[in-house]
Amino acid sequence: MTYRRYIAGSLFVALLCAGCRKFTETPAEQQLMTPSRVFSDDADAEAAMAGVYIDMAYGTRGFMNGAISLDAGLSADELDCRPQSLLPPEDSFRRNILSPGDGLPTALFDNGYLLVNELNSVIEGVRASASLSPAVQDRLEGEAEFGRAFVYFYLVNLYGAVPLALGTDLLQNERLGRASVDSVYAQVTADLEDAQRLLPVDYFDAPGYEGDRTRPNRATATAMLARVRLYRGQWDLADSAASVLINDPRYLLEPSLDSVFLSGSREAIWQLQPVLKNFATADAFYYLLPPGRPNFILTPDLMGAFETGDQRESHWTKGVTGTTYFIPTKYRQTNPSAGAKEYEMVLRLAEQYVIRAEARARVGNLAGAVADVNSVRTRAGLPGTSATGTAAVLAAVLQERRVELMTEWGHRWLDLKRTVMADSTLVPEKPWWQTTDQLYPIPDAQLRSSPGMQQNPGYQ
Amino acid sequence: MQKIFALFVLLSLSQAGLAQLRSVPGRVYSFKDVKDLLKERSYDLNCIHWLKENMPPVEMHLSRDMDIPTILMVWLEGFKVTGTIRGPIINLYYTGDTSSVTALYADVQGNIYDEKRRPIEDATITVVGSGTTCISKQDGSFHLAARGFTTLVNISHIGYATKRIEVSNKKRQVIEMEVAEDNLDVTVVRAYGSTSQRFNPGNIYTVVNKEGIHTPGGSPQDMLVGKVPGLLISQTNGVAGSAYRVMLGGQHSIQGNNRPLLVLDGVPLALDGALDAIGTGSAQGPGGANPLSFIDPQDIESIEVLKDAAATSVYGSRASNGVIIITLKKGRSGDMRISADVNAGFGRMLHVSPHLSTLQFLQLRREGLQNDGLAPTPDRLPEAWWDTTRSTDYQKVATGGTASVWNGGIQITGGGQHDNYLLSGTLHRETTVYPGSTSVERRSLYGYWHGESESRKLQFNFSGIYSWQSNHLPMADLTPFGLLAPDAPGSSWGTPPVSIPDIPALANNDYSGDVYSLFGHLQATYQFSDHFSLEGSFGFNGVLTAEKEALRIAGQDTNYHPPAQLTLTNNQYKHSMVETMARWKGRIGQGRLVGMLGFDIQQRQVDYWSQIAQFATDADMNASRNADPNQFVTANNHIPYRYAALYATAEYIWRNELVGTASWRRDGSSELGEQNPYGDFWSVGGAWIFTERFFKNSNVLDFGKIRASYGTTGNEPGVDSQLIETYQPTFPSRGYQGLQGLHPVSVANPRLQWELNYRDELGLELRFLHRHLWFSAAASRNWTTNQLVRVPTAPVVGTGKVWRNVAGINVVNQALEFEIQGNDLKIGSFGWTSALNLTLPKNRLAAWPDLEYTPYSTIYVVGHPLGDRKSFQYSGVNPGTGYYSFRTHNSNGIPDASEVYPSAGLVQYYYAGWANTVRWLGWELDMVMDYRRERGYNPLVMLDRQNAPGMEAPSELSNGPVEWLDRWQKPGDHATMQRVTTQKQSLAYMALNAYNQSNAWSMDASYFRMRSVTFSFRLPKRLTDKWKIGTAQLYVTGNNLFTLTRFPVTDPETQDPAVLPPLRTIVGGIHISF
Repeated sequence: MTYRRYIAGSLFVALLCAGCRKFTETPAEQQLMTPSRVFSDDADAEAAMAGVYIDMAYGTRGFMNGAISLDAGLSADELDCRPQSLLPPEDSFRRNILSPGDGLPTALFDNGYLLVNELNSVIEGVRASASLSPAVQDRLEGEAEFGRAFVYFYLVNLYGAVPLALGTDLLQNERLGRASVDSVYAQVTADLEDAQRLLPVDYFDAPGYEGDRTRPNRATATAMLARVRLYRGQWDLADSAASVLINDPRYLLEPSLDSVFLSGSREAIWQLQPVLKNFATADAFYYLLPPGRPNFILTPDLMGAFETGDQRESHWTKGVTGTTYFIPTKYRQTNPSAGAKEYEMVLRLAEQYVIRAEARARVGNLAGAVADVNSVRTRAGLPGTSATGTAAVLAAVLQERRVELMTEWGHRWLDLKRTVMADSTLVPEKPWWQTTDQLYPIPDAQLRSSPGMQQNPGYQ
Repeated sequence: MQKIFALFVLLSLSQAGLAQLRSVPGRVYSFKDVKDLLKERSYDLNCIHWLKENMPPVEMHLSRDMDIPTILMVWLEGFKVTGTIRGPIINLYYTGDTSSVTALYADVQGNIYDEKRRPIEDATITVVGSGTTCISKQDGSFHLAARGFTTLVNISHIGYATKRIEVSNKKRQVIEMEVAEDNLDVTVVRAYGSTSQRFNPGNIYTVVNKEGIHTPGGSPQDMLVGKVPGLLISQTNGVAGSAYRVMLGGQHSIQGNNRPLLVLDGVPLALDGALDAIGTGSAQGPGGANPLSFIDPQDIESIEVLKDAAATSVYGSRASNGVIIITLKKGRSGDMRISADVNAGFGRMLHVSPHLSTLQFLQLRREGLQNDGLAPTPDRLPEAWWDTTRSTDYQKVATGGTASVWNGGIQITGGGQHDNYLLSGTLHRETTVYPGSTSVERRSLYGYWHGESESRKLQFNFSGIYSWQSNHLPMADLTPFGLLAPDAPGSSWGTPPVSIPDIPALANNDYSGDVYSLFGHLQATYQFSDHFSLEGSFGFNGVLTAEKEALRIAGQDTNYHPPAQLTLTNNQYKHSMVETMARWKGRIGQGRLVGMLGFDIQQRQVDYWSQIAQFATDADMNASRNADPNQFVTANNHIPYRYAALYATAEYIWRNELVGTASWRRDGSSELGEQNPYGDFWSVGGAWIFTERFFKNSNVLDFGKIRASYGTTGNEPGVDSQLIETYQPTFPSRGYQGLQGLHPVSVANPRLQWELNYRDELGLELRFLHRHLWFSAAASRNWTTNQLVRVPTAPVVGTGKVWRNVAGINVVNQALEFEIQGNDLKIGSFGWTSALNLTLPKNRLAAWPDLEYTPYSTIYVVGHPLGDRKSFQYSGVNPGTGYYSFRTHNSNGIPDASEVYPSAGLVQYYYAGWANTVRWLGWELDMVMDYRRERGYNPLVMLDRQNAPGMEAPSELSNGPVEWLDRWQKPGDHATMQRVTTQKQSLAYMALNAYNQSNAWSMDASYFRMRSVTFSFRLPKRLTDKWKIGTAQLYVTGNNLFTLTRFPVTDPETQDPAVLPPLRTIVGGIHISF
């Protein structure tokens, strides 16, 4: 009798044990926001893409909200730190004394790849999903590919040959070494061409935000492609891509310089909407706050680059503390609690004019180049350029790029590097300049994680 | 006439009569005498020859009026002999089964009870001399073979005082045992059962809660501080209700969980660490609130601290950091008794170094500029252009208040023979030393109910706690704001770009949190037979938090256009447990075996929910206290956890001399990766009570035991959502085009496993001088391998870090523990009880293969304690140049990044605790003190990293402690601080940076502290009788009364100058019982 009870007890325990394995498998898939759950319906998939834009536009540093414009502006000859006893940490960009362990260049690199990972996750998730509506699926894939191309464009320009992560597999990504500059550009080009195919012609109209140009469309991908073609020396392709934008009636150079950076700007090809209630663009934060004693100011060299009568000098810059220091005033709104009037401009039509101008000048179409340069100059209240001859026209194009696109997205820094003018231009300005300063250092953490990966020259 | 009497009927004659018969000394009758006596009355006595030969003479007191059956009864009582009366013939029959003289005597029969008349099972009855033993059954009954009418026996049982009495086979014995005053036999709670100090083969330290006085600390951890060898408990800060750092047996895990498993009345707690997920923070700091604060100390019966393999291994994958079992008070049968306790008092911050006065502060700033060769212009030295007649002690403004403490509690207990209960309610209120109105309040109810069937075969216990805690605190610890320049205008935010913290305005940013805790445990046992019982147990505990943080525009510098931000957080931790256990116990050979097989299922769900909203004005925020769906982004996450275990233990105690034990457990947990969901853990242990064999008659040594154990435990990852790739809402924002965002936050690692810990221990326990002196020593080692390390992924991966088990890492902890106790040493009418413990720990990172290829190569050093670091070697302030100097090859004196050497960091050398109780008549003095010899963070370096002496700091938090004055000023000076500088481009600043990265980061942080002193007076009985109360006790308790240390700047327990040091509290109260 007793033994029978023991046997029954043992059986009971044995059964429990068998159920044990099943029991400890939590239905995590249902509880947590896994990628397969996120990309199972349109709304969550849209939220994932919105998450990428929020991370792009959030705060003041990150990768895309302010950091590139500020850091690259300081590295080149656009921006200075206002002299004071406590200089901001960004001063190491101005003095070109970055080191691989520094927080800021490291954060820039890390935040770039953070966006890459998010974009890769969206691309993977959207591609794998079987339940998204086709239009949403195509658009989100296109947006994410466009975003990835944009981020890699800056990574390759700031850091040189960078690892090319195209998925979210941990074990695979950890083993990546540097990809060549050419292969990064090949991926950027492929992504943009893919995005051109997938993205709709019109901007995505979110309810309550109709008319905003804050989500890329086909033209946005084309505009970015125009820039990539220019950087790669593919002049004809750059010309034709820029022409698409210039000929598109939706885009025009805003006649008033004060309207260029507003949210409704007709010059905008792609803008980022500020995402914090009481926080406007990073540019406004850096140059306007605290009022009267900003940390960052324009270099005298840049101020000297404005021709007499250039309306941009008076509309886009301003003297502070009397007229001792000048700050950029492309963005003016510091507190958007009543609504954001300004959006962070990422791509705009004026750039397409100077892209086409340069592409035309490079292939000898000087008249066309001068016409494009003059389109930009006219808006700034200047007469047409007097430059003649290829070299002079090219110089005029670069001068126009310098003043028109000042403090925007590191254009000056990238232009100096791609035109091989960094050394000759910066040495007189910056006695400490070394040619190896053109690339930022790869963070220590990346080198540690990828044995065999070489640091950029000058940082060993 | 034929009368047939069964003698057992006679035996049931009134005991009083028998006693009377026996009380008068009688005459001794031989068999022949009885036969003759019967003959006189015309009766013949017949029996077998053997009986006639062997019946011993019996002393009887017979009287003439006795009838024949009575005479026979008196004569034959206690023999295995029965008789019949058939007419004039009496026949005697032997009822035993063997023919020996001793077999003639009947067995002693009886029942053993405790003082509450509950049967005691398994008591051992040993005949003194012969060593014959028997064991009592479940109803307390026993049968013992006897060799005479009276037998001297020892009756013993764990938890009861061994009783030596003479038992008689002439009647059924009723024996009452008393709960042991011998502390060796007091019940010690252990995993899934209990044992006693005497037989315990493991390392379990019991702290029994003091009856009566309700100490004012308000947290269970206070009961343990300084009392348990191997256990270090430190306050994280001095804010009411904050978490404690608890470390048992050293740091086992490099980056994983280092908190002991907490088990409350058999139920593992859902929150074994801190309530660290609580909101985004309050003044309670990053450690959050104390997860045990829902248990009122007055409801605790005892706390057991389990350390070695024999004690902990049966808890398997969660026991590698040791186990702390909290046992709640139980009811007591009897008439209803009520006790009440009320106390009140105050607390102030422990002494810290004063900050510089305006004069000293400006002197340092000016000196810095002078050293840098700069003129003190308003731009460089704004403080000198303020009103320098001001010299505010901002330390006092921020943290100089007086906290009040108030406690009240009531306890009711009572019950009948088969059930009893205990009900308890407490109120606790504390405030802080910050300005503004702050408070931490707790109300809790505790109930216990025990019941059993008439046969006592079915029993149940229920315990339940409900507690509601509400905290009103500043959003951040205000201690750092004490560093505000002493002449700063601290009542406005300053003019841009300088933002001067307005301390009163900061109080506008408030945190309020409600914490609701519910705990319940129901346990039922059914005793199938003498040997076999089945136990079922159901436990639940839940913690619900509802928190609100209001960051107001009025509490921020408006020059930066800050938004008002409201954070609402609701977290829920729900944990349930179902356990089934079969237990078998019985005698095998000359020993007792207890075996157990159990199955345990646990389930936990953690839900996080939070909303953050930003508002343009404070008024908007106040108006919209709740969620506006357009403004809020919600974070919503559920983290489920499931756990199942099968375990078995066996313990064999041979002749009360040798103990052998073994345990095994298989755990399965959802926290582990798909590839490794199970683990097996086991242990073996043994003890030899050598005083059962040697020193038996020693007057010096009462008790001696050697014990040893070896086994394994595990440490669960505790990283839940790290197992798979997950998305979470992006940081609260206005959304993008009105859309709220999601982004990936983790990356999957399906290979996660637990850390595996091997441990062995050897212990010696001795008791001397008639229980007055106790000595124990233990030597333990444990190795933790398969360490979980949060390895940064390559930045390219874009997800930060990921947890991995790194094979081959081995962390070794060794310890020597000693304890000496003097129990109830009497000197005249003084009674003194004292316990001194000493722990010598040693921690070592024994191996980390390929450490040099990980980012931790700059942090950890193989062969050194985990607290050691590689850093520059600081060699003092150069008296000639005034710069910090280092071991370096560089001519400028600043070492290269490669010139780092292993040096001592956060290391414990030894720690000791000493508890004393002195009694004199109704007076009693309790003292607990401890000493820690250890290294801690150097607060001066921590300050330097924020802002160095002489420099202007952001927000003008530029002041420092008076230690700053000991700086180099001119060649030849020997100082602890280098020449001050104001410039970040100076050589002095480079030296300062190197200094902050040097081995100066840690320093000696040893201290002695009087943890608590309680002085109490028990009102004399004549007064309490007159006032018709049971007992009344008046007391005063002081916590952290004084500290002896050489530690600079702040308190050595908290070490961080930016953290509020612990408070010194003094409380007076009264305890009354009816």
